[in-house]
Amino acid sequence: IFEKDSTVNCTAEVLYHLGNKNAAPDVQFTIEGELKNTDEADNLFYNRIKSLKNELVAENIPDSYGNVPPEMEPIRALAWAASGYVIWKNSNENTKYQLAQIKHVKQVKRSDEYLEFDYMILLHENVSQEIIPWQMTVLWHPQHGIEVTQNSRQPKHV
Amino acid sequence: MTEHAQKWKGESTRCRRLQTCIRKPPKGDHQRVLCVQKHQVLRIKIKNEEQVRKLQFLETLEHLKLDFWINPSTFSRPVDVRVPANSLQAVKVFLESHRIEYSILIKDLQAVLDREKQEMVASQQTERSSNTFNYGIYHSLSSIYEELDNLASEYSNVVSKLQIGQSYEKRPLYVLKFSTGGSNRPAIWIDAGIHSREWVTQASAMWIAKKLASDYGNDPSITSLLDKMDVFLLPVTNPDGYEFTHTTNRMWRKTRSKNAGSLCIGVDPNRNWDAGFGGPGASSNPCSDSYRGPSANSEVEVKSVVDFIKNHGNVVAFLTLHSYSQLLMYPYGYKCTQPADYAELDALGKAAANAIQSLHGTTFTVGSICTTICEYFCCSEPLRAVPGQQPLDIPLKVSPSWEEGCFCRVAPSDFKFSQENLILALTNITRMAAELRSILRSPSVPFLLLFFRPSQWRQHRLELRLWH
Repeated sequence: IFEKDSTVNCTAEVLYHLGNKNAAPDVQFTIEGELKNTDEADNLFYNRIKSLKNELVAENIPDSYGNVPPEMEPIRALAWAASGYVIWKNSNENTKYQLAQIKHVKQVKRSDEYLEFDYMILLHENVSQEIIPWQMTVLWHPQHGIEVTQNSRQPKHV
Repeated sequence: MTEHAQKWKGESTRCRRLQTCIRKPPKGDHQRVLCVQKHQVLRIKIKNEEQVRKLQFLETLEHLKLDFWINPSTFSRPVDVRVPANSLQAVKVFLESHRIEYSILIKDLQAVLDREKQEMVASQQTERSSNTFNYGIYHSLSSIYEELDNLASEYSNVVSKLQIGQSYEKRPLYVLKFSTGGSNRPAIWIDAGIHSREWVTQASAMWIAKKLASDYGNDPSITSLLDKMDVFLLPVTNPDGYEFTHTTNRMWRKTRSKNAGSLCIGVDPNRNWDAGFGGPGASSNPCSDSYRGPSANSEVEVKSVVDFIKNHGNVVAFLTLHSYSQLLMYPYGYKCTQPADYAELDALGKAAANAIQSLHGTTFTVGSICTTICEYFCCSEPLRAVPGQQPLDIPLKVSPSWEEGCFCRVAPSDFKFSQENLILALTNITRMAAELRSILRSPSVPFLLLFFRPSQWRQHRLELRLWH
C-alpha cells in the first residue's frame, strides 16, 4: 500500500464463485499496521474543488504521453479508487482489469457537502486486451469516504 | 461463501512488501515510487578474494536492505551498491574497518532522479529546434522515419536501411541493418511496435538503434557482437496503427486492415502468425482486440516479416518488444508495474512458440522467465514460470553500464544454452535493454520470455516486454 516512508503488508483472500459466474468475487483482506492519515491532503483537495467557480472538467488523464498535471492527481486517485470498485464487481478468474485512462471527467454540482464526479474511464482488460469504456458516478467526502453510485459499461467505438 | 467457491490466497495487487513512498504526485496507474531519499550509491573497489568474501557477507545482512547492483563475485570489477539512508553509517564503518576502498557514486539518489525527471519533462516540452532527435521522448511516425535515414547516413559504416514491404495503407516497413561485413552472418531480429499503442517499444527500438550504431567501436560488447553477427531492427512493425494512435485513438492496437463482412477494422498482428493459428489467446471476432485475422499471415505487415526472415535463412534469435499492461505511462516516471499475468503470458508463450514452429517446423519447449528486474525503484518479484510448460527458471539480469551508476541493474547469469555467440547476443541485448531504460529514464522493466529449442542448433525467440 502506497505510504510515505513506511511499508504496510496486506494479504487478501479472494474467492471466485464457481457456481454463480456473475457474482463478484468475495474478498477478505487484512492490513498489518495502519494506513497513513491523509486528512490534510484530502481537505486541501476538497476545499479547492468546493471553491471553484465553475465545475471542474478535464479529459485524458494521463495524456497520450503519460503525463498527469499535478493538480489533476487527486482526480486520478479518486478514479483509481472508484475503478477498483467497478473492477471488483466485474472480475472473475479470467479477467484482469486495470484503469488505463480517464477519458473525461466532469464535476456535478451538489447542494450538499459531497463532491460528485461523472467519469468516463477506459479499462484495459489484460487477457483479451480489450479497452472498455465505462461510465461511473463517484461521490466523495473527506470524512465520509468514496462511493460509486452508478456505473455502466459503455459500447466500444468501432 | 458457498461450498462451490474456490479459494485463492494471495497478495492484494495493490500491496507491496516494499518500502515505498510518494515523493511526487504519482503518474499513471499502479504507481509506486521507491523513496530513495538520502540513499547513496557506493562504488566499492575490491582488491582481493578476502574482500570479496567480506562483501558477500555484507550481502547476507538483510536488515541493512542493501541493493547490490553488481554482486561481489570477482575482484576485477568494482561493486556498486545502493545503501538506504539508515544503513549508511553501518556500511561505511564496516568497509572502513576492513580497509575496503569505496567512493560515493551518488550522494542522494532521489535528488538525481528528480533532476533527471525535470530534465526530461523540460526536454519533452521543448520543440525540436535543432536536428537532434531526442531519444528520450515519444515521436511521430514521420519523425522516426526521418531519424532512420539520419542513422543510416551518420553511421553508414555499420547501418543501412532496407524496406521489407509495405503496410496495409501502403506505408513503408523500414528495417535497419547493423552489419560490419561478412556474408549472411548469423543475425538477430528485433521488432517493435507490433502493437501500435505500446509506444515505449518503438521508442526503445530507436534507442537500441542509436546505441548499436554509436557504440560500435566504443563499447566492447557491442563491438564484438557486431563483429560476429548482424542485427536487423524493425522499429515500427505496424506503422498504420502507430499513425492511428497519434491522430485518432491512442489505444489502437491492431493493424488497420478492413475485415470482410464487418464494420470492425484491424487484426492483431501478434495473433496472425502461422503456427497454431487460431489457438488460445486469439479471437475469431473481427471486433476483438486480439482478432487473429481471416487466415495466418493475412496481414501484410506480418507476411513481410516472415518472408524476410525465411529468405535470410540465418536468423538465430528473434526479439519482439512489447509493453505489458501499462499502456499509458509517463516516460520518465519511476515506477514498477505488477508482475505478469499468467493467462496472457501463457497465451503469448504459446503463440510465440507456435510462430517459431511455423518458421522452422520444429517443436519447442516453452520456458519463461518472468522477472521484474529489481532496480532501485522496484520490488523483488519472485521468478515465475509459465504454467503447463516446462519452466526454465533462469534468472536474468543484465549488467549495468559503467559510466553512470544511476539506473537499473540487471546482470546476465545462468543461461542454460550452449551457443556462445547466442549467449553473447542475448547478453548484450538484455544489457542494452537495461541501459535503454536508463537513457530513456523510463521505468520500463525488461521482462524476458525465452523460448528454447530443445534440439540441435538453436533458434531462440525472445520476447522482450517492457514494463512501465
